[in-house]
Amino acid sequence: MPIVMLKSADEEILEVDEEVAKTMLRGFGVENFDEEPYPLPNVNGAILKKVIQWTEIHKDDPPPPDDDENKEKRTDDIDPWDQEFLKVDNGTLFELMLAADHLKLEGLLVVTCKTPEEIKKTFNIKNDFTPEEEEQVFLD
Amino acid sequence: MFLSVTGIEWETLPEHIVVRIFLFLSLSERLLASLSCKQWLQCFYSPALWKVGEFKFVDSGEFKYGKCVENYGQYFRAVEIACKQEERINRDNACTMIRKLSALKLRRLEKFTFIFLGENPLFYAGHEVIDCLRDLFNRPKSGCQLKLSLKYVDLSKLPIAYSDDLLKILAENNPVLESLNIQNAGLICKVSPRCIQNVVSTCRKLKSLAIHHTSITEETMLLLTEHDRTQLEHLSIG
Repeated sequence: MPIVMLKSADEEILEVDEEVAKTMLRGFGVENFDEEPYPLPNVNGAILKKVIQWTEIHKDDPPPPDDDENKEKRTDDIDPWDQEFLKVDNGTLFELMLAADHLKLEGLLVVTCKTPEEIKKTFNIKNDFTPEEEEQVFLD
Repeated sequence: MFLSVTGIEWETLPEHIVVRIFLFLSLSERLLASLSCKQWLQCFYSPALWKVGEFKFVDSGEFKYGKCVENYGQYFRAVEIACKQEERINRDNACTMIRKLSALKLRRLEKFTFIFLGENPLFYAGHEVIDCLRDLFNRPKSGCQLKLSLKYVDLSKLPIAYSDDLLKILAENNPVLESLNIQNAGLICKVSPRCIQNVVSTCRKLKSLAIHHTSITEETMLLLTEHDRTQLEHLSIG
């Protein structure tokens, strides 16, 4: 299996299976790799490693459906591998979201956006609006 | 509060990512979240979040929903209304919601599901529900415009007796209907075979149909096999 090289924002060179790299960069339409490492100036090495790891596991996933109907389907179940994979601090999680968004990895973006319990916890922090004020915000 | 080593925090997440996160939250969670900062409030208004509307009426506290429908209802492509119907207030709120949907100036609604969550009270005929459904299925009121019409209608978890009249209105005004499920747990089915025959001959794109056995005849089955219509993929006779 041919190996290609990717270069992260912090100049780290990572060796990746060509098939995995192609899957990962599908959104960029990269078909062939040169001798030179392929630069990814928006993703740092640590995150890139995570993204590569995720892509290796998910490279045979069917591409996400294009139509809105399926995209909106709110399945809250996350496969166990992803759950384990996403046990990271919020900073890493946010970086993964941004990387997935940048690389157009829809599957990774979806799973990172629906993962964290922290998100719900954060969102459930009580605000100090009175019900009337709260209503006002949405009625205007 | 959640400091990260990389410097990205909740506050610095780009808006389109916050919107993606919001997609996985319920409306009430979104409401709460959007009160935390201006950026998130901005995200609350994103049309992308309003393609699917899921409304639950289980207590009387859902006062904000109505306003949300008025403001963002034009973006709805799919709406699911669930209602704990034993209490009158929930039924009234659910009906008000449907009326608001029918009164939208602009509508893109393609998928509609109505669910009763509780046990159906004996002898509850559901006239008020039928009335507002009739409004929703009917041709748009003057001043209202339909960008899209209904394609999927699921009333299977609504145990009331439907009338021929309701289904006639649905079929005539939504001829692109692809999926209809009226196979509910109601004790009686008042939908006549003739009515279903009309639905089938009007809605030629119907791919999925679920009805009571008393509503289907051989003629309807023959109609469904006609060549110049979309092929039926799913038929359920209960």
